[in-house]
Parts: sequence; C-alpha cells; structure tokens
Amino acid sequence: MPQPELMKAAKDIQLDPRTKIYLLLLINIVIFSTNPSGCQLIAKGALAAVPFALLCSTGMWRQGFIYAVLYVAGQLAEIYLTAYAAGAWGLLMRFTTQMLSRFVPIVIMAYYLVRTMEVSAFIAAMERMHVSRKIIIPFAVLFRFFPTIAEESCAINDAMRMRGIGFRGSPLAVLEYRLVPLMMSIVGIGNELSAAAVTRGLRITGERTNIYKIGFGVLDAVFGLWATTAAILFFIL
Amino acid sequence: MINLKDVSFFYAGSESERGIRNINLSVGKGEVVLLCGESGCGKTTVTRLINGLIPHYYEGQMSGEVLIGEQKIHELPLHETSRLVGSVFQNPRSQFFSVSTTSEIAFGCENMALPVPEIFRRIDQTVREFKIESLMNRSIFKLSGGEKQKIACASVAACDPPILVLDEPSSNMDTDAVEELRRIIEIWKRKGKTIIIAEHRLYYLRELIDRVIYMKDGVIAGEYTARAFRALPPEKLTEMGLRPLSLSGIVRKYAAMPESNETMTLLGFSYSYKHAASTRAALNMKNFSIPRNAIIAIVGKNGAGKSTFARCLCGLEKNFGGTVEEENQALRSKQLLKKSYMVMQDVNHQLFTESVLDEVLLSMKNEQEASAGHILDSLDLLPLKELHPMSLSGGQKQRVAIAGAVGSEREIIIFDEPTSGLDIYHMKEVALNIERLKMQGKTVFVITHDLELVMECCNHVLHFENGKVIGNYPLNSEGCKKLRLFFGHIPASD
Repeated sequence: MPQPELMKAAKDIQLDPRTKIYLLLLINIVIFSTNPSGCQLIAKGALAAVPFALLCSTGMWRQGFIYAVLYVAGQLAEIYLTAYAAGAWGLLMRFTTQMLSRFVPIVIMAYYLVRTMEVSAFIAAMERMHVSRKIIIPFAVLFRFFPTIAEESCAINDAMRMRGIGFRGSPLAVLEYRLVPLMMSIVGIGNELSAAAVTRGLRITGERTNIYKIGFGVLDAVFGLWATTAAILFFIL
Repeated sequence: MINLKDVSFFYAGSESERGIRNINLSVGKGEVVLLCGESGCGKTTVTRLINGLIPHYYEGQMSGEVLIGEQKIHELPLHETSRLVGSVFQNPRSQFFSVSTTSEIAFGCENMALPVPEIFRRIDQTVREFKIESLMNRSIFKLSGGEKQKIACASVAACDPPILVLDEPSSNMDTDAVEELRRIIEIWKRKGKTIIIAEHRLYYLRELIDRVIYMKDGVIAGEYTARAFRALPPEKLTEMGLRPLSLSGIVRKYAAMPESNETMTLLGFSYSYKHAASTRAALNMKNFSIPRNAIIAIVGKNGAGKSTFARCLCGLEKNFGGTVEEENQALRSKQLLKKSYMVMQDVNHQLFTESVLDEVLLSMKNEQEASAGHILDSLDLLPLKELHPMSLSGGQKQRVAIAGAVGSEREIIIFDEPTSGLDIYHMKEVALNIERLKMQGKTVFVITHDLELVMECCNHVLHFENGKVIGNYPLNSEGCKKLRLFFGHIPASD
C-alpha cells in the first residue's frame, strides 16, 4: 500500500498547469499593455496580487513579501513621484518605476511557474489540450532549464568578481565575458539532460501515465475567475 | 545477457572523443563488471553502447553488434532499451527533470505508462530499500550532490530494469556518500541485477566486482577475475593508470615536509546565509592559525562548511565580517577579493577570453606580454598561448585558470575539488600544478574528498565539521593517521 504522504505530495500541486499558463498570459497581456489610470489601477493591482497569493500559498513567504514591497513601491512612485521629476533623473525614475510595476509581476509569475511546474504534470496537461508531444517536450525541458541557467550564471558572476572584471572594459566586452562561458555550459548541460531523458524512456509517441491529478478544481476556479474579472474590468474601465 | 560482438565506434566530427575498436565482451546475468582505464580510454563509450545512446543519440560510425538477450540494441528504439537498461550518469546537475524528489523517482515509471497505484508501490518499495525516506518530497534544487546521485539511483531502481549501467557515479561524492552508493550497488547485486560500472575511484567496488575489464586507447587491454585484480600489486595499478583498490594502498609521497614558521591567523570566520533556501552551510569558527606558504587540505563531509569557508576566504560574501591577519596586516572581505583566487570545480565558468595569452593579460594590472609569457612558460602553456581556452583539455583549462591567478599576483589560491572524476595521471598533474604554486610562495588551500591528492601534495590539514574546525594539524606521520581515520580507514604503518 502506498504511503499516504506520497499520495498527498502528488496532490500538493495546487493549480492545474493550464491555469498557471493562462494566468501568466493574462498578466503578460494586461500588465504590459497601455498606461493605466484611475480605476484601471485597481484592476491591475488585483491582477498583480495573483502571483503574490500563489507564492504565499506555496509557502514562499519571503519571495511573496519582497514582490509585494517592490510592486507597491514602484506603483506608488509611478503615480505620485514621476510627475515632479524632470530631466535625466526623471527619465531614470520613470524607467525604474516602469520596470517595477510592469516587469516584476511578470517575472514573479514566471518564477512561480518554473518553481512549481512538474514536467510530468505539464506534459499530461498539455496532452489534454491535444498539443503534440513534439511541441510539449522541448518546452518541458526548457522549464527545467531556467533554474540551471540561473545557477550557472551565478557561478560565472562569482568568477568575474574574483577576476575584477565587470568594472573595466566596455559593456560589450563584459557582456561577451558573461555570455561565452554561459553558452558553453548550457550547451553541455542541455546535451547531457537530453541523453538522460531518452535513457529514462521519454519519447514522442505512445502512452504515458502521470502521478499528478490533472484537472480543474476549486482553486483553479478561484484564481481563474479572479484574474479574468480583473482583466475584463481593466479593459472596459 | 549482454554481448558485444566486434564493435567499433567513432564519434562523428569529434577529435576529443576518440571512440573504440574491436570490442568483444560478454556479460552474464547477475554479473558485476568494472570498466576501468585512463580518461579517454573508451569506457564511457562502452556504457553508451549498452544503454543505446550509441548509435541513437551520439552519432558516428559504428560496426559490429550489441545484443541484450536476443535484442539488437543498435536497432531497438531507445524507449524500448530503457526498459532493459537503467543508466546513472556522472553529473548530478544534468540528469533531473522534476522539481520534487518523489516526482523524479516516478518519472521513468510514468514513461513506461505503468498504472499510478503501481508507481506509488514501486516508489514506496525503493524508498524503503534505499532508506531515503528523509529525502522524499523535497525540492531537488536543495539537495547536495551526493543526495542527488542517490535519487538518480532510486529513480532508475523504480523502473526495475534487469541491467544497470553506471558511468562514473562517485565523481562528486564525499566518503560517506560513496559508502551509500556502495550499499545501493550491493542491494542491486543481491537482487541479481547485471551491473556495468565505468569508474576511476575503485576502492569502494573492491568487494562487489566479479570481473574487471581494463581498457586502453579504445581497446580492451586486459581482463581480470576479481581475485586476480585484487592480487595486483599497487605499483602495477599505478603503471596501468588506475587509482588504488584500497585506501591503504595510498602512501605519502614525501615522508615529511618541514612547515614554514610563518603563519596567518583567521579571525571571526562566522557566517550564515540569511536566505533560508540556501543549500550552503553556516560557519561558526573560533580563531585559528595556519602556516603560510603551505598546501593546506580542507577535508570534511558535505555540508561541513567547506565551500562557505572558501567563499568567505575569497571575499565573495559581501557581508562577511572576518579577517585574515598576516605579517601585521589585517585583510577584510574587500581586500581578500583582490588577494585570493579560487580555481572552481567547473573551470569553464572562469575562462572568458579568446586566447590563453589574453586570459593572463586580462588578469594583470599592467598588461605586459613578456611577463605573461613567463607565467605561461612556468605552467607549460607557452605552446598553447594562441589557442582558445575552450578548445583545451580539462587539465590544461585548469592550468589557464591558475595562470590567471598568478598573473593577478594573488597570494592565496583555493582549489575546489580539483580532482573529482580524474584518473591517476591527471590527478598527479593537478598535484604538480599545486606544488608549483607553493614554490612561488603562495598559500594554497585544497578542498577535496580525494585522499590520494592530499597524500600526494598537501602538508597541512584543516578538518571541518558542522561549520567548525575540528582538526588543524601538520601532515606528518601522526597527521596521516588522523586523516586516514577520517577517510574511514584504520591506519596501517606510515
């Protein structure tokens, strides 16, 4: 008899992968479009709260808190401060606040997606939508790849600090120093990862099972409706 | 069970991987076969023939036949082969697909389309057999290298294939993790699995193997029964380019090296990561002194704080408040960043430029080609100075990284696991490079799980446990005994 904890863990994936992707797309479209004003800001805020709620619900309190502070600060600064700033400083401030209030929600939603998306659940959910596995598998491997890229990038960053590069030379050269080793290691890891995948029986065709329960539940409905309503309000207000 | 009939293979468009010629090998059911030989001898290629990655994934010219039972592996689709052969690879970083450990163990079974209750039954059974209950439902990102490798073994075991192929599985492991791996292989052996292991580190396999295939330059150069192989004298193994079969076979290269009288004192080496998700250990060390211009081995289990210590010593941790005192000057984090240098486990991360010469010039304060040439010459790199660092071999790359450190006039050089997964020849090459640095007056720290490397070149030992220094002693005959005890070996005569 399987251990109850194991079964519980498998159910712990709270949202259906399709819901997560839908939320990401919605946040992308809404938050990145047009300059909001008035009531639109409330709708936007409601949507930006979605990644916050998701992070907190998976116990990533720290990340959730940082995100909330960044977003609120950015949004408030954008509304109240940028009007008074002029010249180069104004430009810089506008740029920063836009980054905080627009990019951050998207980045955080993507972070949540990558951190909680089980490759196996993703494959199953996409197959429900009749997407070909030829398309699913590369995406699935890509998800797995982001954290690895982040890890490699940190290591290269350390190496650059130790060498004292980063403060001298042209920005282009610094970019090159960073990208060349990153590319080399990504190609290597990607190759090994694919080889490991095929020896474990991952393939394009044929039946496949999945230990996660795929399907829409209460949470999917709550988050889906919440985000959709916010998005509709955003566009009609 | 497994039959390789006159198999030759040459990788397409690759000069670094040389391929194999005329391999004839048959392995019976339940046999444990060790493939050994120097790096590049072709042992990994043989494992790839058995798990079907050759010719289905790695392309090249192949002749001959690979049979498992009646099945021709070179004609069978890979997903069919995966039911017969389970594979564990060298690099734990690049063989995981899932976020959680439980899902990872299920992955292979899911691909075989087993019913879900059966998958859970198998996970449950594997977890109990391997005693890895504490690793379940954890994020893979937060596991140590050794723990990851255990999960890799478990996920293969859950698929229950009759054949297991392991390609240098112990490369990144500490002594304890190696012992766990040995136990896992023992379980498999008891269950009658057929096991093929390509490996450099031999001591842990001593009592498990039934047969040994020794490869050299792409051909099988010797075949031994376990008894005959165990009877080979240590000198013979060294001559064959192999690591010793037992830790007692490892002897100190120099009887005793006099330590220099100058010391450096490390003050306030305490540090903890605020980030709760960090996998790195905290430090909490009392002040201690170590000799300068020495080669200091840093040993300890995974999670003892070795890499945190190294990062603090390099000045990579911005908020680290400790100091290093030498010659009446106190170096803080900022100065340490300029005074010390780490040769990373993966040197690819620290080579940035287009030629070996540029790499040295980049790190020099005043770019002088003459003195750069001198540094390259001292590391046998002068003939390679125009080449792209990425086109070099692993050992050469490491020397380029060292050249960078010398060029930037660093006093303290730290090596992070410089010999994991190296054969004896390359291990000695690394030891030689480390000794060269000492001769130039540097203080060298070597973080390592490799007893042989310590015995080969180090003259002082720092032993860490739970972020504390629990041993700080010169590597004289007394020190050797202590060190052997840590490596789980009852001292013989030194």
